[in-house]
Amino acid sequence: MAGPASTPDLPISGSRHQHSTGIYTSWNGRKRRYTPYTKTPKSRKLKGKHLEKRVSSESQEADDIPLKKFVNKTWYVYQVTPLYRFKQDKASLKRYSRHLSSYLQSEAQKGIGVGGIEDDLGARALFQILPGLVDETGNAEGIEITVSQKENGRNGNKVTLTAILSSVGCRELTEMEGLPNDFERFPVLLAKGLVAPMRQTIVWLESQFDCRIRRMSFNPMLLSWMVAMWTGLYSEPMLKPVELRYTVPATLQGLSYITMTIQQEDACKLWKSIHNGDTEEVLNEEVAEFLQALETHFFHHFKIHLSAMTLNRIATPLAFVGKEGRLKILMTKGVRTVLYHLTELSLENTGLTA
Amino acid sequence: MSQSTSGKKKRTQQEAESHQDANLDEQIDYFTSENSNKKNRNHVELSLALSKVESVAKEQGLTSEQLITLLDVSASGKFPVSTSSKLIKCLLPSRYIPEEAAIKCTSWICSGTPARELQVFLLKWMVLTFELLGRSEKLHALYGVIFNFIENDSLCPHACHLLYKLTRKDDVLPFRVNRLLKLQKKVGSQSYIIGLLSLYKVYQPHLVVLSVPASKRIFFRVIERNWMVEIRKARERSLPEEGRTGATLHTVNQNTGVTQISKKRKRDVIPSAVTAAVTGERLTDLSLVGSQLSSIPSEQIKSFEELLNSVDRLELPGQIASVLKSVVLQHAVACYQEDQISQRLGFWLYETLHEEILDQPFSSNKARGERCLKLVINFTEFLQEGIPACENFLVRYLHTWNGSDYRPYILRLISRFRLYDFPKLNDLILEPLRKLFFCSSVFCKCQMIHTFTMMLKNFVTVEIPRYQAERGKGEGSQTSSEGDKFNISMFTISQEEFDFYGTVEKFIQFVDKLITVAVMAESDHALLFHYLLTFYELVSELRCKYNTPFVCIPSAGIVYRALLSSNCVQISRMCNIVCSYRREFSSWKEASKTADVWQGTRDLIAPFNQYILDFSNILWRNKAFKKDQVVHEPFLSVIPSEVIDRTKVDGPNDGLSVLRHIALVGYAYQFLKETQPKNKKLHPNLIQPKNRDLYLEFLQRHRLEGVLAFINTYIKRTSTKR
Repeated sequence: MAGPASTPDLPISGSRHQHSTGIYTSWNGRKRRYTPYTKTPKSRKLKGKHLEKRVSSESQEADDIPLKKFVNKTWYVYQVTPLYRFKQDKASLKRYSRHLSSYLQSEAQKGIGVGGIEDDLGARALFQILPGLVDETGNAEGIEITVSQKENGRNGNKVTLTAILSSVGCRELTEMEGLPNDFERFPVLLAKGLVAPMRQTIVWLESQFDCRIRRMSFNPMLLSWMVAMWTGLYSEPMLKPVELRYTVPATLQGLSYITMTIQQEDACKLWKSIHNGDTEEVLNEEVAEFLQALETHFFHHFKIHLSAMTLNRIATPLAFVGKEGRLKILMTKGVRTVLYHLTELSLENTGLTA
Repeated sequence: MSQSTSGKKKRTQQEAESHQDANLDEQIDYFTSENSNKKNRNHVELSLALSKVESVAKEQGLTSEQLITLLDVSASGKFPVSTSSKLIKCLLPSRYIPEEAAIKCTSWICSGTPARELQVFLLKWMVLTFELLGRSEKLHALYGVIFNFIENDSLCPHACHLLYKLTRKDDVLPFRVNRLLKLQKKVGSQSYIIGLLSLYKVYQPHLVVLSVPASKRIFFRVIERNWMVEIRKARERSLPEEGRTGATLHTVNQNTGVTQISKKRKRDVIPSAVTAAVTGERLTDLSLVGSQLSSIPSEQIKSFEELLNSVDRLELPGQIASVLKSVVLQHAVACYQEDQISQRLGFWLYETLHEEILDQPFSSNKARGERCLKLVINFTEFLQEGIPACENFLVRYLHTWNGSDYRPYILRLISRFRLYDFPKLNDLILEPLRKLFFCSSVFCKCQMIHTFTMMLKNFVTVEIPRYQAERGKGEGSQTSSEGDKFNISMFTISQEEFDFYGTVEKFIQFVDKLITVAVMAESDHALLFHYLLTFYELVSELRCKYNTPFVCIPSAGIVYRALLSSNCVQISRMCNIVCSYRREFSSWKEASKTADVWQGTRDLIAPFNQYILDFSNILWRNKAFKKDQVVHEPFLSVIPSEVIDRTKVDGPNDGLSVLRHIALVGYAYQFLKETQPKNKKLHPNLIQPKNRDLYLEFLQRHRLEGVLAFINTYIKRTSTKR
């Protein structure tokens, strides 16, 4: 059994509590209100319903089709700093496509130069605006990059990489701050495909638009936020269950992880008892309470303190998220919700929202 | 061949040198004259003439006319190939090669008159002697002609090399790129084509995409070693006279072409300075290709002179972070003062430091992170201000820092931290450091105190003047000329107003508390004392040197521990510090009449006078434990007299005087040994009051000038009375 090794009375892991205390000892010993210069926010807006409403007012059916691209695929999530001098117009995108194609080609056969205007390339990259991800003002919120490779012996091309730059919610989240005109924000990059073109495409983007692209990872705190926020978002029948997977400390042999699965309705009921459904704002305390309730429940049955383990993967009806930055969105109408949240996290991580 | 040359060299030297020129011209005439024997290569006259020309050329070089004459002779195919090639190798100038020669050479190659082998020789000669060309404007006009040579298999490598040296931005045209690419398809991946293409890529990155494999980083190989040596000698001959104009520029270019960056790792942390292909400025003005004012890619800038010449049309690298590697480009970036530049750098820095350091807390390979931090530190020191993105990173990192990873670097960065309102500074930096301070070793504590000293220095020398300048700028424009001096900030940071002197004062108090405890915890560790005394040596000069409106004094815990320490250096330095406070307080008093200083300092005068009284009572007046009639309680009088009696110390009141203080008694002994007759039993009391001045001077000679300074400053009159 896993439990006994851990300390018996530890209701919830320290890290989650740390941020909610708010009082802290200052240098001269007096108690002082904690001034939040660096910490993660104590509450987040729950964007799902709001976004859904807006989409449904338009022709939802037509809108959903392109968004199907996102669903039921496993993506790697990257965070991207603002792109310098990135342009969205067709001519620019065409130029980017051509240059990235040449670049991939030159990487494939080192030492052979590739002209910027040639046609017979082995690898072909394509930049295009993703239909379906457009904000209120008509600006594109998604750019899709596909890299395809000519297959030997066959006529068709094989797609080796799909990458999507997304800026869903970015305008809203960064309204307050000015960034010089030359920057374009696409804080999130979702990518799936072969390793080599993925790496090369990232290097190319970094070198052309002077940005940094870094794999996002989600610590247990962020994962528990996602579980709490996305569990009660939709209440329809036949939704996928909520699942939490914890890894066990390495000192324990023979047991690598513990998975806890809860029916969606039950989890939803629990969340609604904690969270006030009228408001969009989710509080840090609510998230902590939700997780604590689930973990207490688990302890009641199995006598295992999940809080002593590390949460490393979650599943909600909306999406699967893994600690190492893997993501699988399960519902078309949840795409924007997930992307919005990722944008938020990326902006926090890149130090752009203070 | 070289052996025989040296033999001949000696012989020629022995001959009358005055005849040489005339002699040489005669020999050259032999080559030019119509009726000389052209076919027989063993002909005596021919070989004599050849050896003469060779030796003179290698010794002192040929004049321009001689050079051109011989070039014509060798290229005209009058003599057999072996002779002509020997002649070409002799074409070494006495100072520099006239451009006309290079042009003639080109036209000879075009004419097809010389044999194929000779054409290669001629082209090689042009490549090798390129740095000796006086100027290359006209030769550059023949760029298109030379470009055609690449079609010839045997000429191609050398043509590429020559083009590499000649190419300017406006030479890089799409059709040339295409021809090179086509050629590459035909002959495969050849290093010389890669070399030329990679230069084209530098100038016009959107025209050609190329990734250079590590094995082909050396584009042009030098084959003719001996020839190369001769040419290098010729260059040495001409360089000192020529000065540095022109020639250095070419050599620098050559170096970068031939010895590319060594293959350190798969991918360097810092990107290299390459212009971005799809975002570069040139896309906006494609029509301007060929104009004189085309921009210069930053890869081409290698020296400060080059930067100065092209600072107005420099094209910054696509990844701005690459300036971290180049001191020259740092100057450019710092003087542009554009928001986007600092933003781009900021984004990059934050992400990279996060990735290399924060995300890998357990990695054993710290080399990448260290390299990164070193470059950031260099840049910070260059700018003399903290980089905001880097500060954000530091703040985040300090929350999880274990106090040992990258310690020297992290502390260096902290010492350049910006000045903020104290609560903020405390939360961001001081509180995390305080936590680490008390659970780390004494050496780490020393490093941290040193960091605090550097921080304070940075505050008073750089940060406060900058804030004052900014504030002055906001109020009126009169101070702008003075403000410009300090307002060289690369970053625009909106800061709410705060009392920066207040922050500094609180900062000093914070450090004071920290070190008071540390000294106790480490039981007066000598090294620790050194660092805290250094800190106070700075604090005790703030008013006089940096014009602070207040004076800060060390707390009693530190002052008395130094006074009673068993280390003479600590006493002396503390005495010195106490002395400099006299200047501080009098300066403050002077200023307080005009009332632009803080009145709070007045409260410090009484405790400070107490320090002085105690120092003089203990060290000089032998009243250590006596109750004095002066207002305050003497420091040591708290000890009841019974306790002192019980110690049975002989003369407790002078037990801590300069003569008998545990830290100084050794010096007293040494002093007596030098002054008293041998075999006399020595006791500190032997130093008579009249000799005390001698003793103090003795101490001063042993670098303990603080004691003397203290007595001179505060109790000089009494000592003269005695």
